[in-house]
Amino acid sequence: MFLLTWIRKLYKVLSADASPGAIAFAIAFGITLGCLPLTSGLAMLLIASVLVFRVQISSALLSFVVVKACALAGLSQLFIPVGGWLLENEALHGFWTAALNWPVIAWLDLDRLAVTGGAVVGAAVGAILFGPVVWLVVSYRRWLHDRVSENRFFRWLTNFWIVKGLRFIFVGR
Amino acid sequence: MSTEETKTIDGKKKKTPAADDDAAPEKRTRSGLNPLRWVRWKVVIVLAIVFGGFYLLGLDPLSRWKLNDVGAEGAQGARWNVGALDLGILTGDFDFGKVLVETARKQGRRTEKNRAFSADSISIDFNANQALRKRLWGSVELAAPQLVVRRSRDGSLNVEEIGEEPPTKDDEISESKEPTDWVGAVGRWLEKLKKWEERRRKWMGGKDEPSDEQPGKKKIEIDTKRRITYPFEGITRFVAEKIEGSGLEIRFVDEADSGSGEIPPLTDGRLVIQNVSEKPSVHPEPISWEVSGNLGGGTVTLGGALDLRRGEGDAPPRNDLVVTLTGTQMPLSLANAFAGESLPMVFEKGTVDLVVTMTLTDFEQIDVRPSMQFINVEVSPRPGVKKIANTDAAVFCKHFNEAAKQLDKLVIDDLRITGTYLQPKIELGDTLVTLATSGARALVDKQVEKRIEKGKKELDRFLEKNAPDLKGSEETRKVIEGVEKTLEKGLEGFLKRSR
Repeated sequence: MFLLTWIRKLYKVLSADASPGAIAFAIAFGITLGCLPLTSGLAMLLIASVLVFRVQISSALLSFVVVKACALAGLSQLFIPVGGWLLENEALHGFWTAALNWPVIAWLDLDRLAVTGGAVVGAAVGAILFGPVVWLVVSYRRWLHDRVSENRFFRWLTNFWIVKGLRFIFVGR
Repeated sequence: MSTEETKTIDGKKKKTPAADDDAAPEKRTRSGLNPLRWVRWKVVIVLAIVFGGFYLLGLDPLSRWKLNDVGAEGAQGARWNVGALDLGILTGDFDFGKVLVETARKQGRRTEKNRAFSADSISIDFNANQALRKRLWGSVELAAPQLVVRRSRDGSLNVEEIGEEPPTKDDEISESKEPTDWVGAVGRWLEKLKKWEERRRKWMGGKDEPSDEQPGKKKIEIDTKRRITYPFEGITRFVAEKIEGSGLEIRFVDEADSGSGEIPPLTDGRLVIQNVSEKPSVHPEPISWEVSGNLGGGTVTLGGALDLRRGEGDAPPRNDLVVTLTGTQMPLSLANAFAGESLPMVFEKGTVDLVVTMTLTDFEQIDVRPSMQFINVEVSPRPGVKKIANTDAAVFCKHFNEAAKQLDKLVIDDLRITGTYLQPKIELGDTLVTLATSGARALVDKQVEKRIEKGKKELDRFLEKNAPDLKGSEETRKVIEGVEKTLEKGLEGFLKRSR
């Protein structure tokens, strides 16, 4: 039931006039969250931010699940080396010594290699995908959704009970 | 409820309820520039109700239950019983981070007899600035703290076990089970302190090591707990900046009862301990303390500092313990009770004003410099003791008593104890040697000469300081010098005649 509700929400998000930038931002948020250990302070801050601020929860959740699966499949192998390169780099010792003792920042667990590495990898992937996601949403709305919805064959197809049933299950109307 | 215009797959336009508020296009357009609309206020309210309700109704009792659960087992090396707990985060005065713990004693409930430490309440004021930096720094205020120092039959002190895990066989000190007096018990405690410090250094050395990585061994599961430590090497996470208590009472319970007399409790006391941290080697300030109060009719102050800070650069760490004991009008019977068989003589009567400075380096090398003024003192040799200061014990005590009778105050400030606390080396000063070898009269002469010398210096200082105020002409100065000389001659003559 949760999955169905989620799919319906995604459909609504894609079909409605929600800003493509906001959707891409939410996906980047979810990707970053997916790269972090959930017990870290930074992950908790991101979760709280997703809940409290008007971030697209469904898009963020989708990207979080996908990236978490990728992390379990092997993406997490990148986190420790990246975190290690950043945190153990002698040139940055001064910066990290100061930064990790700043108020609030100290609670984010950035001293953990997996957290810093995961955050950097996640933010980088999110930033890289930001543009393509915006383009995909715009394309979907401009081309696929509108054209398919105005296509006569699809209009005819939706008159069948089985299609109506499936549409009700997945789209909710 | 907000609505949104959705074009369905069959091409119809519909007004439908929004999937969530952020998806509503009109609202989004309006809310884009208004930061207040970026927040899901309903979620904030729900979270506030959930956490607020938990705090108001459940947090205090839950914390108290957990604290008592831990305290009842004594797994942390001590047992405690918290009567009431107020975390006070949302108290009316918005005193962030203030925790008030009322003990069972305060609430009049039955508590364990002779509990090592108890207080009516413990108020902890956390430093919010440090809390934001993930550090637990705070000040502790104790109301009417009571400490019971118990010496068991084997001579060990109960304060040895506070904060320690139950002893293992390795921790046992081989020669420590013979009964000792309080002085011996303190020595044994110092030995334990030294071992504790060694263990602490070893632990701190091992703790900061990063977790081992196995090169070449590929595994999907990563060590998410691996962290860097260098940013926190010079940082102490847990610091009691100040522990303060008034109305302090310290009771001394002697289960060994060596017959040296009962020690009266220290009452109306005050306790201040500063800079207790989990990493004293890097904390900028050394640990210091001061305990004062009334003991047996006199006033006593025990102050000190424990410096475990790392030296500059590659310099070895300091391990210095400095203790200063100041007492006025202290009954000498206390010395019998505390020092017991460590003293070769028994104090029959009298009081003492004393200032004792003890330095303990590396928890081993001691340097004790006492300065004592005995008043109306009388001693007798301890049964079984034949010699004191290389003199027959009875003769020594006779001379000592004679000297004490002749003088208002018998001043001994040239005694020095060095060596280790297990093997102390006592250096008898001129005073005791003269007393033992030349008899009481010689000692009196010596003491009087010392006083005259001291008086001369005081007078010189006084004249130097005050002569200008007297509009001191050369003549006035000569008159004062004349008076000074006359006084000196008079005093010397009087003393010579009195011999």
